[in-house]
Amino acid sequence: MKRILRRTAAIIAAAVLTVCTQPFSAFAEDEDVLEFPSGATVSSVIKIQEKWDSHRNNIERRDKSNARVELIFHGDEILYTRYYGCTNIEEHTLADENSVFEWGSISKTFTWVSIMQLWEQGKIDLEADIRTYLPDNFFRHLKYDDPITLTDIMNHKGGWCEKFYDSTSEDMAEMPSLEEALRNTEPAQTYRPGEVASYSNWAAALAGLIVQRVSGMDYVEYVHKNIFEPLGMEHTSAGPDFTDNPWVREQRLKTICYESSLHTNYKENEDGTIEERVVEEYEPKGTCLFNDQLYPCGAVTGTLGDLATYAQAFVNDDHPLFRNAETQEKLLSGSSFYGNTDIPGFSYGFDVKEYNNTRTFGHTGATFGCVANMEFDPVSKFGVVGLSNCGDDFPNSFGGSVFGRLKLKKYIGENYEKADMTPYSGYYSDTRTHAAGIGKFILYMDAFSIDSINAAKVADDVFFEYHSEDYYDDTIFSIVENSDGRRGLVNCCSEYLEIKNYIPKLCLLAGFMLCGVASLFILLAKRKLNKAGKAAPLSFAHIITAGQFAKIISLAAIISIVVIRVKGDKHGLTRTEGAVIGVIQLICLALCGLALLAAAYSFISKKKLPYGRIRSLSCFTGNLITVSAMVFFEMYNFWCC
Amino acid sequence: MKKIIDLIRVDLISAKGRNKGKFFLIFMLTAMFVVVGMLTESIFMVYSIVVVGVMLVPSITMAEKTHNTGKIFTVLPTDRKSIVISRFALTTVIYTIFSVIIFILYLIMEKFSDFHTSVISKDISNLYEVSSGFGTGIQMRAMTNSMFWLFFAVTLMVMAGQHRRYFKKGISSKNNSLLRSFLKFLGGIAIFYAVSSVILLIFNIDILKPALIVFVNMLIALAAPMNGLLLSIILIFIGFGFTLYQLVCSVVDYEAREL
Repeated sequence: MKRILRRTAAIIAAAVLTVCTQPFSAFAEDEDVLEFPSGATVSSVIKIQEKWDSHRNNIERRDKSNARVELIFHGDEILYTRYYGCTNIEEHTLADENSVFEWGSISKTFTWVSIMQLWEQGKIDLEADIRTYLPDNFFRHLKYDDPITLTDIMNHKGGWCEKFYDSTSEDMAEMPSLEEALRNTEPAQTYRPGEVASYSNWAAALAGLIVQRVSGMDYVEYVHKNIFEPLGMEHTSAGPDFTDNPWVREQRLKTICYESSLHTNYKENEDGTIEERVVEEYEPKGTCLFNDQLYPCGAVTGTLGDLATYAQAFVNDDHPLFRNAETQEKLLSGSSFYGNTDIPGFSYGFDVKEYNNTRTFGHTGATFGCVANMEFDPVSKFGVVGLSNCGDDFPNSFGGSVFGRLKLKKYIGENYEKADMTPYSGYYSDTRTHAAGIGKFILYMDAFSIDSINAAKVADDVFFEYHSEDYYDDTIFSIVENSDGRRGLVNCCSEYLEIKNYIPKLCLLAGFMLCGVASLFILLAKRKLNKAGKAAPLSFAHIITAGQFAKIISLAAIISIVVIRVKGDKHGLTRTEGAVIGVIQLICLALCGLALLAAAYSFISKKKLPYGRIRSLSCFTGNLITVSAMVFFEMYNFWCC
Repeated sequence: MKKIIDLIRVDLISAKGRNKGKFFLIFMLTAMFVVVGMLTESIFMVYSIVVVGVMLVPSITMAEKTHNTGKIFTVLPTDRKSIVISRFALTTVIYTIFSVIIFILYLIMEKFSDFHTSVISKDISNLYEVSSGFGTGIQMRAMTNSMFWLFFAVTLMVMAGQHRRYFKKGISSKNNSLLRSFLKFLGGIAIFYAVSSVILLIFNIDILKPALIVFVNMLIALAAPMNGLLLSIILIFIGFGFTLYQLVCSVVDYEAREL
């Protein structure tokens, strides 16, 4: 009996031990029911993706399309990796774990992490004026005396508008220091610090300089030592021209960037019928390498694996990037909120995205040739990262499957209150634009009205812009009132700022353009009358004619700004180009001013001329419109823009 | 002023003559587009102003060919400048009044758009309006309104061009028939597209693209506010401005011409 009992006990013990020592099979069971915040199971999402990838068309297109590499992770574990397409379509080089891509603005998060590391070491005060950390008289174009804090910069509320001048160097030998580059490209400060959100690459690079000065180390060296090395990111570079990691440089040179476009193609089927197909074509743009003088804002380049490692650090309870868990918590606790709610819009430089069931943090990035995405949920510890070598192919196939959607009815329920937007009616423009200097006119060509949007109230001064159920996700906005009385609509770190008296300003710009075109016809008519000997010139006719030429040249000059920006491979004009255009505009302004006086004299003089009064009045009006537009839109201001 | 009004009367009297068939043709074509606009999409009415505009100048100058009165103005006690001004004034006023009437009719039909068939379905229109949201200021209504006045301005320019050609080269049976004028107009559009295509092909858009960006952005910015009113005013201004330019050139050309 005892023997039987012993054997039974041994069998039971063996069974218990067997079960307890089988963690892998048990985990496999768990994985089957592991759910994303969206509610979808991990296995179902992966199965669908695998099915999609194994489709005949996708297999055929694999070596004919651009590279799009993506990854899903959960904590330390990589759940799914997808390498699709080519880093070089012409040579059929398929993307793999060694392919490197630029991460664009994700680079900024390295600066924000560095700032937070220095903050936890007590070397930086996030609320102190940044001038404390910069050389004396560093800024030349500040409009406001208010202090600018690092929190402002991390929230993109430093007050600077989009920089106008190019900050890339063709030759690394000509590369200025970060400090010098920042001085050379300082944009105008157009908003009061801490008030208006205006996404700024320049300000992010400025934060990089602060890291450099406070830590006493070169910025690239700092990032290597305090971020790359602790995380083991060996396949990532942070410096311009990849000087800090030759392997990355070698790999990056193998990656060609593409521009995609859709074309209709006709194919004859076996049964003789003609089938119409939409085909995606890829135009190679070369390597699209650039040496950004403001490298902290967008120079990080690396593999998908390293991007995943970096993103995983933020969902790791061991906080590998920080000494204290509190620092990581603070970084992801939100620094800018929608109205008086506890919904964060932005978190110390990280984008915050609200979904029905979750909230994610991360950043996106884009350079001349690559696009990147990083998004993670520190609570559920799920995250997605993606990279692509085609600007039109944003790598976010898994965002919806993993995190779900943001739809009004599910977020606040069916009984929502439709927001009355009438009090906020008006014209708004994105703050991330040229709000000063010779490119200021661009702001007035991108404004829009909010009168036709569908809005639902979430809280006081917070609303949802919603769409039909099948359409893309809804968006959350807060309404802020700035000290100058202008309203702003804020989403994440983007703000749409109200333009007061938009219609008259737009009319002034349109009038300026019309005067330029009309001057051309007036000069042609004058030439004809002169040839026929029927000209009856007004007083100071030469000055008036010079004014008409000036109007045409001035119009051509503002068009040339767009020409250079569109045709060039750079971000913005060079200083020389800006100076030439600015000086031309100054000369034109002087000529139009003189022509204005000449027309006024002609109007009041008693000289009898056919239609003299009407002609001098129209000439006066034309010059007045042109001079007013040039002054108001600062078309001559090439030094502060 | 009296002289110009008298000259307009002369033109109207001579145009009446034996041109009833032509007027009937213009009326039929105009009526057709108005009816099509009433039954389907109201913006189609805009074609009626194109028909009137393009055929108006030839139908008035045609009288000179029909009655062999091409040199009548050489014997009239008036100066050539007044003749040019009267001709321009007559056609421009008729065309503008007609366009305003059609525009009012178009606005009325827009109000009752729920009661007739639409080419652009209501669902698509609604989806466009709802989906546009932030970043897209231009609304469907603003677009159609602006389109109406764009047609108006372009046709006005074509009319001014017809006048100038007439005053520069005189009338001939070849270049003054109604059908020929209409075909010329269509041919002009075809040539415009052909030349544009060649330019785009040769320069691979790179040269035109930036200028087009400024142009298109400005158009969209102007079309967005007040249901396209701002852009419409500017288009009207351009149309009349160009007519004024052609008027000045026509006076010079006509005065220099041997009659």
